[in-house]
Amino acid sequence: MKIISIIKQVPDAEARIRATASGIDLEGVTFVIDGMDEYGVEQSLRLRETGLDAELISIALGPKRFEEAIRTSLAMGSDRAIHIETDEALDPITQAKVLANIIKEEGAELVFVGGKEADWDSAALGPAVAEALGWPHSDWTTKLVVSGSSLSVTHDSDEGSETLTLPLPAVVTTQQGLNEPRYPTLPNIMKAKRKELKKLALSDVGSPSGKTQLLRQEIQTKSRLNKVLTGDAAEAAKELARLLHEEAKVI
Amino acid sequence: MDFSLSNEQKLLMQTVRRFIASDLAPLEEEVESEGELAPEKAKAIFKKSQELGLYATNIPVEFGGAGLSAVDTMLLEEQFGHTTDILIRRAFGNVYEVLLKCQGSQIERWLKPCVTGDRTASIAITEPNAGSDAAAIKTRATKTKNGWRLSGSKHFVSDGLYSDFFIVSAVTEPTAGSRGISLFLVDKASPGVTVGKDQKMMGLRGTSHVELFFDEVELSQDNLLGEEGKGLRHILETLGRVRLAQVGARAVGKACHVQSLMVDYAQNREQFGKTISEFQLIQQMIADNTIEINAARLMVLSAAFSIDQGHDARDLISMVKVHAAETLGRVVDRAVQVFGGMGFCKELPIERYYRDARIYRIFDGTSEIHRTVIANSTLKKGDALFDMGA
Repeated sequence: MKIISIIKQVPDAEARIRATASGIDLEGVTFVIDGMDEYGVEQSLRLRETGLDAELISIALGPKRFEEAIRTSLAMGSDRAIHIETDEALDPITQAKVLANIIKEEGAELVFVGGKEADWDSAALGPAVAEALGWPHSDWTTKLVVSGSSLSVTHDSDEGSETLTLPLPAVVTTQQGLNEPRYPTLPNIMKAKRKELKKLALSDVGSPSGKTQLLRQEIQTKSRLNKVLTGDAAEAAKELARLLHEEAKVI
Repeated sequence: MDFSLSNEQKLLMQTVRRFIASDLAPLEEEVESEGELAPEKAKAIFKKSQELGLYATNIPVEFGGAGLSAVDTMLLEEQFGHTTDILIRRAFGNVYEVLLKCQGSQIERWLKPCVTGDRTASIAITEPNAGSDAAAIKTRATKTKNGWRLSGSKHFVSDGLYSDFFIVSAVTEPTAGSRGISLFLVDKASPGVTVGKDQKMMGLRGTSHVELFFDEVELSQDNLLGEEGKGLRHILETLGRVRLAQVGARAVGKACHVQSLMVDYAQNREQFGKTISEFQLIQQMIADNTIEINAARLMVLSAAFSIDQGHDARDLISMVKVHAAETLGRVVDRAVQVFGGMGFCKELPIERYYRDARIYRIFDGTSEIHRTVIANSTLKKGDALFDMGA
C-alpha cells in the first residue's frame, strides 16, 4: 500500500514575523515543516511500524525552500518524496487538482493532509483533495486504525467526537492529539540525504492556472461586525445572501 | 568558500535544539538548587538522546559513534552550549578522543562501553602543583614484573564521582621530562584507588570535581594507553578537537543563549517611558555581543574545517580558546548589566550563566597559556599565522 503525506513549510511558530505596510516581511525568518503535517508523516510511520506493508511518500507543492520540510519528513522516515516546485501562490482548489493527479498516478490508497495551515490558516486543502479524487474524507482526525481495506477514524465534530468507518482509498486530515511526532534521529538525518527527491515543475503537471490572485497584503484593522443570524437554516441562508449582496456587495 | 549549512546540518541542529528545550532545559533549575541531577532523570535523558543517535557523536562509526566531521561536531556542540555541563555530559556523553588510542582488547574493555554509555571515564591529569605545566606531575608509575605500580594524586577530576574509570597521566621515566610521561586506564574499583572529596566550585553545579589518590595501585600492561613515554603527546594530539568543541563551540552557544535573553529583556523593560533597547548605551552592548559572537563562531568553524582538511589546527584552536572564552565572559557580563538588579538576583538564571562562564577562561589551558602559545607560534612562523596572502 502507498501512503502519501502532503506537507508544506511554514514560518517557525517562535519566529518574529514583521507586518509592514506592504505585507508580511519573511526576511530572516526560520521555516519549519508545518506541525499539522508532521502528524500525518508520523501516523504513516506508525502504521508501518505496527505491521502495515507500506511505501511512504511525501509530496509538497511550493517554492524551493520547501525542500527543507521535505528533508525533515524523509529524516523522520518517509521513503521518498516529490516536490512540485513553484513560486506561484496557488489556491487550495488548484493545488488539490495537481496533487490529486499525482496521487492517482502513484496509486496511493491513503493520503494525509494537515488539518489547517499554520501560516494562512486555511483548512481547505484536505477536503479539496478528497473532492478532486472523489474519495471519502475524515477531517480533524484524532485516532486512526487501518483494518484490511477500511479505515476506522475518530474525529472532532461540532458536538464532540465521532467514530466512523471509511472504505479505502481515503483522505485524512490530521490534527493535534492524533500522535506525538518524533524528532528525526541522527542516523536517519544522514540516511535522508540519499533518499529520492523527485522534482517537478508546474509545466510537468499541466501548467494549472489558479482561481485566485494575490494582489496585496495588508493588516486587518477593521473590527468584525460579529452579526449572528438567527432562525432556521433556510431563512438564515436567505438573509446571509441578502446581506452579502446588498450590504457587503461581494456577490 | 561556501558558508551555507546543508539541510542535514540544519536538521541536526534543530533536533538537538528541540531536545534540549523539551527535555534538558526544564531540569536546569532543579540541578542548580539540589546540587545534583537525580539518577533516574539522568538515565531518562541518556536513553532518549541515545535513541536519537546523539550520544558519543564524536566517535568514529567503527566504534559505534556517529563519526561526525569536526565541522558537524562543532555545529552540534554549539547547540549543546545552550544547556549546562552536567546535562550535556549525561545526555550527549563525554567520550575523550584519547581513548581512540585503545588497541586490541582495550577497545572492548574501555572504549566501546563509553560509546554505548555503559561506562564513563574522566581525565585525571591536573595535580595541585601541575596545572598548565602538565609535565610537572608527581604521580609515578614504576614497572613491575607484570605491568605497573601507580602512586600519587590528582585533583579537579571532572565528573569523578560518577565515572567508573580514569585516564591518568603518570611519570614513567623521571629523567625524560615531558617525554617520560605515559597514560594509564585505571578502574575506580582497583585496590589502592581512593576518591577524595568533591571540590565545590563557583559554578557548574551538578558536576563533581574530585581528588583522586593512588596508593601502589597494581596495573597490568593492558592498562597502558597508547605508547609508553608519549602520554603528553597523545593528550596534545587529541585534546585539541575536544577543546574546540567543549570550550569554543559551547562558549558560542552559551553566549547566543544569554544574548537572546538579554535582547528580549531590553525590548520589554521600560524606563523613562520607553524600552531600554532604545537607549544607545544599551544598544552598544547588544551590538558588541552580536559582533563578537559571530566572530567567535567563524573562528570555531574555520578551525574545525582545518581539522577536517587534515591540517594541524593547534594554533587556530588556541586562538579560539582565548577568543570564544573571553567573548562569553563579556557577553554574560553585559547581560548582568542590562538585567541590572535582576541580573544579580537568583530569581533569574543570568547570575548562574555569569558564574558558569568564568571557568571558560581557565580550564583547558588558561587564556594566558594560549596567548603564550599563539605569541610563540607567531614569532616562530611569522606572517603565515595571520596573513592569508603571505
